[in-house]
Amino acid sequence: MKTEAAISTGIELQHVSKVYSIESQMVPALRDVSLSIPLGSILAIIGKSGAGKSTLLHIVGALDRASSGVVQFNGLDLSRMEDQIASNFRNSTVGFIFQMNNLLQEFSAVENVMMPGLIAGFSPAVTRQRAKEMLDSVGLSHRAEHRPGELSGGEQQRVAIARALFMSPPLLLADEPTGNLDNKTSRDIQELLLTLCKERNMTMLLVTHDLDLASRLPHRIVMDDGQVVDRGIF
Amino acid sequence: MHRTGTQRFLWWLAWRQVVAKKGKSLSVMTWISILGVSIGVAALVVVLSVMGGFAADLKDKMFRGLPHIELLAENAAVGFSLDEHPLSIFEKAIPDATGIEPFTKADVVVKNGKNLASMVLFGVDPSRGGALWGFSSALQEGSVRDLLMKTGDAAGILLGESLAIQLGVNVGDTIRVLNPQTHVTSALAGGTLSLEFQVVGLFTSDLSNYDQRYGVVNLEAGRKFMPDYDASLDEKQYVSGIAINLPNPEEVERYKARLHEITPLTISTWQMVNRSILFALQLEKYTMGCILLLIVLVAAFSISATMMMTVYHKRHQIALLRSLGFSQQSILRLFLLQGCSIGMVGVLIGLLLGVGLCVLLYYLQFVDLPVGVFLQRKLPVKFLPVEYGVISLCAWALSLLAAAYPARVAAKQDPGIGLRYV
Repeated sequence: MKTEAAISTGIELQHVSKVYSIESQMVPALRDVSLSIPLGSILAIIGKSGAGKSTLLHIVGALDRASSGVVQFNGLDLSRMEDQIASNFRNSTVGFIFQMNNLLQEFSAVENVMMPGLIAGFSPAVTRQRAKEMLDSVGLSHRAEHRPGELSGGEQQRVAIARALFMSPPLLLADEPTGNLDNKTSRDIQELLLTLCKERNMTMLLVTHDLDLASRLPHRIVMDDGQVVDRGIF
Repeated sequence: MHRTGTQRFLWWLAWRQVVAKKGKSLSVMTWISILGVSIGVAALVVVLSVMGGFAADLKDKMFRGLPHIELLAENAAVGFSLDEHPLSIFEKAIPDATGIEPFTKADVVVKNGKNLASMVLFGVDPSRGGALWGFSSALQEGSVRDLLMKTGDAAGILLGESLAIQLGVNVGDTIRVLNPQTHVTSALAGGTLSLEFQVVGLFTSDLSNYDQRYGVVNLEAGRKFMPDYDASLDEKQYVSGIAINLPNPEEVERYKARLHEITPLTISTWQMVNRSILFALQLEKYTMGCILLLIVLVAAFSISATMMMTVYHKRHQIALLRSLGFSQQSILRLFLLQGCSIGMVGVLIGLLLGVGLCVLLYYLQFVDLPVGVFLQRKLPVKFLPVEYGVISLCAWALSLLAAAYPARVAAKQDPGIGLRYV
């Protein structure tokens, strides 16, 4: 891992800070974070609750904007992007997986997976076909027409993975994707994620409290109080 | 993959978002909002249709009762000569007129024995039929042509039935008509102090001022009751005015402009005569429309409140959509479309309810009006497609307006914060 923006490809964060204004109080979430993550790498982000892990993920995924500093993906400056361009970037370049309630409850599994394609403006027929293929790839083709309420936690996360990979994004951001699952399901989902990531040569930032999982990944950082306090080997 | 645009997708998503979790029925709050709009629209449709029915009935009476245009001398009481203003000029100017007739008009007193009544005495040309006034089509006995008959010295007269009852006369009886305007010099020059007439017909027109106040004689007899009458007026064919009926009375202004070009006579239209009542009708219509639109406004508040709740409850899902690539603009449009969908469904149901009720009222006529208060027995209904369109548009626009604030709140929501709420 490098701390300087020496390479033009990959994710670059230079002196990134994020401050939230909550009830007239300025609450810092990130403090002067600088990171360089090459394409194709898998990075584990660990730390206590409130350490700024999710905020970092949201900023890298152009879901939130840094208060100061520079955030780049493949040379593209995310910190100065207009909303529409940032939305297109999220749609085509980033796949998000969250801890729970990842799915839109009113829609079936296949409809949830179709969402990125429909947002991008692809035809419903083509999108549905691809969504079924994606569900098949996570072993859920038989649950395509089920609503999230009819799926188990593990199945819901599989649907979320299928949706995150729908547009074949180069970047996958997973925020404690197994935090709400039992051990066995958790292991299955982790394996699925890592396998798919490697198969597709995707860059993945994975926020986790699971130290075992973090120790298996080649790169990891530890965050505390909005800062990167440790990097490299855990 | 081939891109086909997102507008249809947004509509689909908006519709699915307003339905309940199982997608089989609308949520209770959404139903309440929709019903609010529906009731408002239905109330507007029914009330305006019934008011339109009353207005149309009133206008029909106006058109039947009096000519659409009257050409009068500058001094209406004195009249003018048909030699100077021949009918042919007006027949040429308005070839599509449905009737052009000269007439005299005078306020007189009518007497039968000890019974006295005031009366408006019309003189019409029986050979032209007198079809421009309501009495001609409302004759129960006799005809306008009977006015040409003369029994001894008494010419024929048609009376409103109510007036005849008040005087205690029937067809065949003789009455005396007195001219209160004649003074001595005029009487010496041949002016009429009083004349006897024989009742040759009675009319019941449903127009109370006709049946209680009008009498009709032939033009020559009517002329004798004009102020300052002398024999020369007969030679010069003096009349009080010329009446004209039009194929479409609503276009009277167009014809008025045409007449202005060819005659110096004063032009009085049915709209001018009934100006105050027409204004009152319009005012009533707009006032009722605005008041009833308040129901839709209340429904719009309900839509706004429902959608604010939706935005609050779905802040996690809004954040999810943002993470999938929805822009602020798309979220704004999504919630506007939801408001639009609720409004559209509400308007459609309201239109169906309102127009359905109007159809039932129109064909089944199940609402009776009190006899003696209204001239008609049943509630009148007029279908007003343009007004329905305006109502629908207003209700829909209010729904959209109601959705604007929640939509803006949803669009401005910080996805990072939304993702923390589950």
